[in-house]
Amino acid sequence: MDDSIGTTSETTDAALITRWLSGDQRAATTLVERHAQSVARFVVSLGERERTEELVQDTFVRAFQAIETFRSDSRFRTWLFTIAKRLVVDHRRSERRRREVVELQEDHLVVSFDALDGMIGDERTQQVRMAMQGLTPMQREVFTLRATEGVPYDEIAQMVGSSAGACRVHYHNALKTIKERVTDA
Amino acid sequence: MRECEDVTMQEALPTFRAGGLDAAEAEAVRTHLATCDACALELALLTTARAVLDRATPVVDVARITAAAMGARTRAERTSVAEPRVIQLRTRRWWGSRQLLAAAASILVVVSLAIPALRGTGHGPAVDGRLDPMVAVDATGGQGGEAVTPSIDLAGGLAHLSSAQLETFLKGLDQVEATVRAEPVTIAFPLIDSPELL
Repeated sequence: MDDSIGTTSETTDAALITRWLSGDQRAATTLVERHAQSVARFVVSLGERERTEELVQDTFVRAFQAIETFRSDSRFRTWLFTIAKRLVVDHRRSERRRREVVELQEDHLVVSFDALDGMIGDERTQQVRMAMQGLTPMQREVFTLRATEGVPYDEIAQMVGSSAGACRVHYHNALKTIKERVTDA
Repeated sequence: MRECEDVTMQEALPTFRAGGLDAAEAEAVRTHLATCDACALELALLTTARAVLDRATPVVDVARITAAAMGARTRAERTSVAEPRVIQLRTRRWWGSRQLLAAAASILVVVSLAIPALRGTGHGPAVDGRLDPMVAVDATGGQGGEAVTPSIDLAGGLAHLSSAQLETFLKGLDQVEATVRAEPVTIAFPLIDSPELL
């Protein structure tokens, strides 16, 4: 799976979108191939492992239907993350109404993150996972986007409704916390 | 672990790990990593964090997702193409209903005018060309004295009428018009009360 973030690839996302809108169906397939797994990872990081594929599919359905509204001033992948996050929030709202469970709070996300137990055998990896679990939801989201997907601070800021400076602080606080917990173990 | 003092390099690590740097920038980071243990360890930590998520994330079916997304878009495009036709149909329907409305209004007007004429006691010009006495106004102006309701002979047209007769005739027409406007109320009760209908 291509892990590049779309700006330095041989064919940029914007170029692929242009080609697709001109009738090249393979360009659309390339866009999905390039970003689907990243979106899946992001969805899992939000604690929605059980519905990952469904949410990823819904994300691309929404994105492709509204592709003309995509502005190239942010990366396509960030736009997809934004759509995915909105879907997750919508899903949890409807779930809350249906089952009258508590709203997505830190505890909820921690429980979801616990689902990773048993899948990770390596001790150091377990330490990192535990350390990530101990982050606040905001720290975890910013850290995931920055550390594992390489999303710039200004785009993370748009996603989480904060400033780039505040996101930088969240990232470094998260990194510091993880380093301390991994080192202490 | 000692922190790296090169903030630029530290900040570049996540983007480097994600493959977002150009060749020159990436080479500069590699050179730095060769001599900076702190950054090397931090990069290892970022890679492990990514591995945590990778292991937890199921591999999604790209072909299925692509087909679903493309199919949804195609359906949306078909809908948007069909939409102007729907609007056109709605316009036609509206235009058709306006024509129907105009026709209904015309029929109503004709019927309203015809009813007084067809009724024996109707208020309107007599069929024989003489002004209905019920319509004709008091020639004296209705101010005292005996009321006179002269008939006006219209057989020879309007040209031979005097000014007074013409004025009387026009007033009579005004009353006919007023009667026509009030016709629905006027005729409703006699019809209901009519012994033939009860």
